[in-house]
Amino acid sequence: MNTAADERVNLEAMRRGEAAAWLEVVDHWLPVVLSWCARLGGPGVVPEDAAQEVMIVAWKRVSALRELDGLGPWLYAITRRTLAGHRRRAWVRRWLPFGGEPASGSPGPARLYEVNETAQGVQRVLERLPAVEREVLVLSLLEERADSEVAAMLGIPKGTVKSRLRRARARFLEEAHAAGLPLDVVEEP
Amino acid sequence: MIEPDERRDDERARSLLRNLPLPPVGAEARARAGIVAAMAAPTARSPVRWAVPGVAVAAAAAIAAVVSWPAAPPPAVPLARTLAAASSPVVVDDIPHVHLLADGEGSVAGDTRAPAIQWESGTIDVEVDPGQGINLSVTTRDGRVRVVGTGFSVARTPLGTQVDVRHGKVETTCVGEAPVFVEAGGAHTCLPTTPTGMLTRASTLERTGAAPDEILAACDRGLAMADAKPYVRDGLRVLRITSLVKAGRSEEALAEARAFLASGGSTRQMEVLRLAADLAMKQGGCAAAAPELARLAAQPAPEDAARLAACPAHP
Repeated sequence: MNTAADERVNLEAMRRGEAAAWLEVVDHWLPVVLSWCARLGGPGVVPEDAAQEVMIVAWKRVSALRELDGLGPWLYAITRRTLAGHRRRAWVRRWLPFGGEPASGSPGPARLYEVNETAQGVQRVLERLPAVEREVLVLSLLEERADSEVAAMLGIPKGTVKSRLRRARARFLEEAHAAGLPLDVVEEP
Repeated sequence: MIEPDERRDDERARSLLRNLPLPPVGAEARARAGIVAAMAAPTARSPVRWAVPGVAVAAAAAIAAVVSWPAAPPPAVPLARTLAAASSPVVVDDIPHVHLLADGEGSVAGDTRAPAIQWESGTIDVEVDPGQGINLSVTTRDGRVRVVGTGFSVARTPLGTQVDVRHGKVETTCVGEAPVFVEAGGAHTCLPTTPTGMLTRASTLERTGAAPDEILAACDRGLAMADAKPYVRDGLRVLRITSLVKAGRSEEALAEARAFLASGGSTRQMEVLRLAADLAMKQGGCAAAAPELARLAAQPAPEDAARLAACPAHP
């Protein structure tokens, strides 16, 4: 966002309920929240629905936000809770007589973002890990956030981030190997 | 210190994780539209922001609420009035937090919390005080503009509906299109949605010297619409032919003119017949214009004398 002074103004404006101020936050954070939802949502969760819910819940509770510095961790905490709800609902839908995936060959909305086999394989492996390990992998390794930032987002000490990451990485690679996923490092172009 | 093995495993895991799916195309825009719609809804703000823990604080809040009761938002009052500027613009300043300057014709319905303006013609200037939860909208036959920010104007002209945003942000939804957000300093035009509206737009563009391509686009859009009355369809076709000539596409113009003549039954046949005769003569001389000249000679009129005299051997 802008300068520290602007941020203070924006925070005040948000607390007063000014839509324009919140829309600035939406413009800045929606892509990030959306990628969290896509990567951590899991099967049956529609990322855009979850991300939309996160930003609306945050808008309704913005008065609880004390500092703009805390916006990222705060949004992540809301994303976490929202995704948990969406995952529960997706799981329940699987067992309802008419609530499952479409029977036809055409992909349903939840599947539209599953672009290729490797992506699906990685997602399946990730799904086998506990949620706390899944998120530390995405935030630390994929998004390359500093340990201190991840610690703030997850509300745990920095040391725990490191140990959790070590455990998560080992388990992830083990499962990926078992699933036959390619473990060679692909250099970025 | 990170061990080399650990670094390698990091890279392996990262490389795999990069395969994770990205959000689908258009997801961000759809999510954003949903967020804005929820924010614009009158119930979007949660009472949670006023919730305070503790009985003592609650009691104090209750007393404060009684003391500050007059500051609570006033109840919504239904609105129903006509806006019609005879000679000078009409100022509307009695709707709380809403300021209107109407230079044209329209009406206001809804209530004071959600004024719904139906705008027919001319320009309306709108200012909404920020942060008051006013859910104002301006609807024309071409689209709808909803307040997200604060100040904007809506002009309904023969060219369509033009929205200009001075400050804040508005959500504009042209009929049949997805909502777009127009920021301060930005503008957006909703094109007419009926064949008659498109004919009006195309004629106005022609009168004001717009580029032929712009006129052709308006004609094509109008002709693609269903249920055009015959005279509107013919008007659009004639404008299309003359615009093709102006665009230097004479051969296409002649082909279109001949197709128009072949379809028959129009009140503008003679006009197109003369146009086709002139185009054909220019492109291939008298021989090329023979079919049109023959038809003109069959019902001689003073204005055709020069054309027929230029080709004495035809028909």
